[in-house]
Amino acid sequence: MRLLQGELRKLIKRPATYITLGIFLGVLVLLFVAVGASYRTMATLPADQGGGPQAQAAIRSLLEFPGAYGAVVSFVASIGGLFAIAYGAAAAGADWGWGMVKVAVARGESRSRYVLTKLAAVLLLLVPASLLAFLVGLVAVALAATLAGIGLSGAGDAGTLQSLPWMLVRSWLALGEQAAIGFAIATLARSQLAGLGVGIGIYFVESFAVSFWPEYVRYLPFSVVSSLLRDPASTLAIGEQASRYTIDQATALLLVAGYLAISAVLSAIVLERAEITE
Amino acid sequence: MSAAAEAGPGGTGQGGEIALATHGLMKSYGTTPALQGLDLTVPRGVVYGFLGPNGAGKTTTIRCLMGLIRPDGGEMEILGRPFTWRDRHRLEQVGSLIESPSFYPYLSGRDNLHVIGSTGASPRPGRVEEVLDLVGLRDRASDKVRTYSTGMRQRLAIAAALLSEPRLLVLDEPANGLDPAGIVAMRETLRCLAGQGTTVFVSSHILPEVQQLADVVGIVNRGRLVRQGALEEMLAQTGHVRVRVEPADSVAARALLDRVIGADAVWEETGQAEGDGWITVRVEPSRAGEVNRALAQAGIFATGLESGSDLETLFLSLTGAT
Repeated sequence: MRLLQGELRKLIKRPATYITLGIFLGVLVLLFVAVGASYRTMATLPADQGGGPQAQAAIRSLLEFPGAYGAVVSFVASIGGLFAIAYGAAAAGADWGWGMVKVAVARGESRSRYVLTKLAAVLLLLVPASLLAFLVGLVAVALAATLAGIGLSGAGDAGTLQSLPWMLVRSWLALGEQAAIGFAIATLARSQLAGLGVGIGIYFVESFAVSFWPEYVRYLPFSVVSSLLRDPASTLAIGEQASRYTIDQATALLLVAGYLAISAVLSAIVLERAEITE
Repeated sequence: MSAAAEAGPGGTGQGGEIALATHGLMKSYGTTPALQGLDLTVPRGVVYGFLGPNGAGKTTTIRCLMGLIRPDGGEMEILGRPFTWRDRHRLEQVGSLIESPSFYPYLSGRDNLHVIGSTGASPRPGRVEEVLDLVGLRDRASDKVRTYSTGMRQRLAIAAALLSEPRLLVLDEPANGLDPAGIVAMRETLRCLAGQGTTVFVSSHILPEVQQLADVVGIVNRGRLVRQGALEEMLAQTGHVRVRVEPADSVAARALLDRVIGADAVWEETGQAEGDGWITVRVEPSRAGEVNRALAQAGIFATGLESGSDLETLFLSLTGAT
């Protein structure tokens, strides 16, 4: 517990925590407001220029409540995933850069416990961060819906509100898995920058590869997140081809948890075996 | 008298209690050997000066002892018990400063100590403020470490090493970046800790500093121990008295000192100018009066007399460094 408190103290007082969160929230708000603002323009644009009733319907499904709840959760976990990778890498890599792994190990701290507690602190901190992002996302989507003239009716839908906690848990788990991957890469490379670069690189390679080999890539760490977040009741992201790109939610949940656990174990093994010369 | 002095060179002191020891310690980086069978014995409750030229293996030894790297061979002992990779939790009883001080730059000095204290052995309540006082950083404890000078970081690192009241303190170049007052304060603190029973293992390049601080020294070169023992005894062996006499008296003086001190401990140095020659006698500096008296009784009066001993001379002669 003492170690966890120490790790949380470090993260809470670290400027990178607030910079990462601030940029992410800014991107989130900007994205929703831009979508909301473009809604009316869509009506005047022909279909071949990305406008028309179909485009408007797509935006409406994003901004209209109660479906907007799912859209916000999905955005938080997917776009937030990039920031989670960066943050996980920053948490693990900076300790190498500042020589603090050496200090902890030389004080007799268990290497595994140290690295796992550090990851646990990151995961814990993602709870308030993902909740805050969800709330800011909701405000942004409400603003966007108002701008678009869609309105907020449906925001009090009892069924959706009941399922909201589970949606938020899935969102947190998805963020946690992505943060853990960044964390593991940074531990392996002993570098914050390497964790960030390689993690985000894999993210984009996977996003690109899914177009070519969807039946395989959908099981990979970043693609499986979209399956976990997909709301079967929502029209969002469910098209004719959706089943090719996604897997069922229960399997996705197991895989996400598995990738998180693998990242944690890998980090612990790497540090246990590391010769610390930095 | 210190435990080491009682024990003699290489002795263990205090009833054979050993704070730290290595037996045949080996470590290579690729094909480059760093340690080639290092044998160290550090008695409990002493200040041990660990000396060696650059690349001698000092930092590698410390890294092995602090569980940071695995030795390729040999054995280690910490606080009287064998120490292996599996026993790293026992480092909770050890405080250390390895190479340069490491801190979180965005945290204050106080927060850094709290965070460091959350690993390993738990410091008792109020200990953070105690060590901040001890190293004279209480006034700046709330400032971020990124604003600290090199000397302040060094003092904070010493505070961090003392945080859990270790029984063994391992310090790599602790005087780095300290101003003269800071060096004196550090020396007093370490001597005080040794007086209370803490063993202090100090690796340093500043030989006069080690000479003032250490009870026992170990000199390593090319990954091997070349000399270890109580500092007083080692210095006594390298002590000398130098006398200058009138050129006309030099032959008589030499013959007299050969007879009184022993021919193998006396030699002449010829100066640049005529009459500038010195006769050096390898005896304990405290025997300078005896040398002078012997000459005076024979009617030879010294025009100059010097005595001394220093670690630097010994270090250079053992390591071949220039």
